[in-house]
Amino acid sequence: MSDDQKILRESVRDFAASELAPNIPSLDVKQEFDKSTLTKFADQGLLGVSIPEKYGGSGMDYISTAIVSEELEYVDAALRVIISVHNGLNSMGLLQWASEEQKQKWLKPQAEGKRIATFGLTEPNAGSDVAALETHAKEDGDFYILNGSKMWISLADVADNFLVFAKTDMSKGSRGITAFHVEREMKGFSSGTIHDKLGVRSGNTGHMTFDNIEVPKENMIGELGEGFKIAMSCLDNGRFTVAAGALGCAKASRDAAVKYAHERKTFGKEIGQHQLVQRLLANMQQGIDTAELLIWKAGWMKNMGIRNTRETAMAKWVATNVASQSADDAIQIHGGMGIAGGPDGYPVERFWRNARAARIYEGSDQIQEIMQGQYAMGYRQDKPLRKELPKWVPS
Amino acid sequence: MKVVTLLKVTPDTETKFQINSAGTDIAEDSSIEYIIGPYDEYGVEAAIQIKEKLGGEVISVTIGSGNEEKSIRKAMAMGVDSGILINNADLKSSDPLSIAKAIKEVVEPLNADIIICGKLATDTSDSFIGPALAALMNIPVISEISSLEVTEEGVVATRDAAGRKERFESKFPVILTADKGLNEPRYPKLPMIMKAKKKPLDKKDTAGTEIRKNVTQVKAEFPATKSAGKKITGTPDELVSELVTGLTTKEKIL
Repeated sequence: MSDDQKILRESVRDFAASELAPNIPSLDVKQEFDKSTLTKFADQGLLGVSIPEKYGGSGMDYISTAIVSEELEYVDAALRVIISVHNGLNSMGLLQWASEEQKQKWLKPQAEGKRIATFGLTEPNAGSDVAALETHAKEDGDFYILNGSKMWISLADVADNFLVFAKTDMSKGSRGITAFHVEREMKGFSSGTIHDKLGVRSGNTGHMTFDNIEVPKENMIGELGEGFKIAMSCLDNGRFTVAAGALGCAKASRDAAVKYAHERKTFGKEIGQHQLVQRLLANMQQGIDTAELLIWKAGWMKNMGIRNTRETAMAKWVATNVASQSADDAIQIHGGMGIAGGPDGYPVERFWRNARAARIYEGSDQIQEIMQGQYAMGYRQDKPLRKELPKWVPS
Repeated sequence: MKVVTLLKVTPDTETKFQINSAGTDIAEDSSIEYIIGPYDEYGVEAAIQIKEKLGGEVISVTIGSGNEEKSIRKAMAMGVDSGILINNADLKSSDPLSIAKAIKEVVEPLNADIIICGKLATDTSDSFIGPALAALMNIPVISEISSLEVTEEGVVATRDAAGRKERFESKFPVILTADKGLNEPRYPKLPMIMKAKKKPLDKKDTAGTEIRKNVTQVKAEFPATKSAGKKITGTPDELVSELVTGLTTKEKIL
């Protein structure tokens, strides 16, 4: 790690431990999203980590976004989710695809933390099958008239800006999708929050509805019909943050398990002395080391400006499964206490609940598996895009 | 207002260190994370707060041996304007008086109004440099301060002494040593981390002073582990009887 990456890690770790961690268990119980978190993130500069300074960000390299994601999810996934949708899916998508004028107008305030952003792809009837989108935008003079609804949208009820994908040609499947910049203030926009999720309960997840919204034509991101490619490349950045966050969850699970395995005694010795407990910890470490290297590989490729869809997807697939298994094994090591959470309990059941959904969103386990199988067989090849994520240029 | 902050880089207090093979000191290996000494970090924060209130500049001064730049850059990301680093392993491992004299050589020409450092460094725990520097420079020192007010005229500082708070006033220049409670050091913000890379850091091999090592550390060892205590059970009468017997005959305390 470079000195600035080390300082970043120390800073975010201390910030998260002091300013955020103490409230998480009770927020999780209450299913409450604390809006002041966004202000704190903005103040620390976390909402523009890898966005160049000329667009209001800090200009750090792409690995730094992974470091931030990891350190935040070490505390709770709900914190990392903010980075995934605001920084990864939306802002890095604008960095890659938006025009210079659009970047100055929308990316800059996002990176400065003045506007909170998220991403609207998934719908009630279209998740992995993106081509099945039903939200549509019809050309009408200087506008596109947007109608439809989105579901499972992180920050749906708190974000200001939305990168929305809609069909502009219902006859064309994935080639008929176009991306639009939509704002909460637009007439016809409404949103709501989904409650009673298994995990990420202190995060805001919701739905939004577009009722005849007049979206100006200049709000189109990329070209007409380019939305599917844009959405997939946004996922290259979103998945990167999900992978790095999962690594943080796995490390938190390991650290909690090691601490407990030192404290708890059975059969006259601390349980860490038992080989079957050691096996669980060894497996966690194997997964953590593997996931970390895959994430850094993907981050290095982003820094160098090399296409990384395959590598990022692999990192996401491996890391989210490592997190899930590590949290599960951490519960096992905690025994009965492992399922007792809340403000007075142990954190591992929360890690386990948080880890589960990450194997569904931003490409389910099955999508990841199919992708890797297709890459291996040569059925899937990544063609150059009209616009690539810019390589990192040190300032 | 010109403030100099003395910044020593020490192993993270959570480091699980090993003793070197010669048994003379802790082993320097890659597992050690180096950080701004926690008490020095209170000094860094105080210096930045003074600058924010009254204007001026903050300069950090460090004696190091190769592990310091990251921590100096962190201080710069917090708000320190520039740094001076004397990179000299012989000096760093010399006796505290030689280090104080080297710091005097570097600090005196800066004509600072306030020089602030931690009350001690968590690795050596000497509590020496601040007061020694004051003696060498012949200026006042207020040590172990837990609150501080600075005006254009001077400083008012308090120290938490046993069962009381002591309040001191001094004109400039003055040396202050920081105790816990003085402030809560800030977390560097991301844009500041990037800006810190461009702040001036003057690296030198020597302060030009004599390096003497009058005291040599000859041994380092972990404290002996305590043997497990004995748990006694029984009725209150039996407990008292067994306890008194143990203290008189076995432990020979009574």
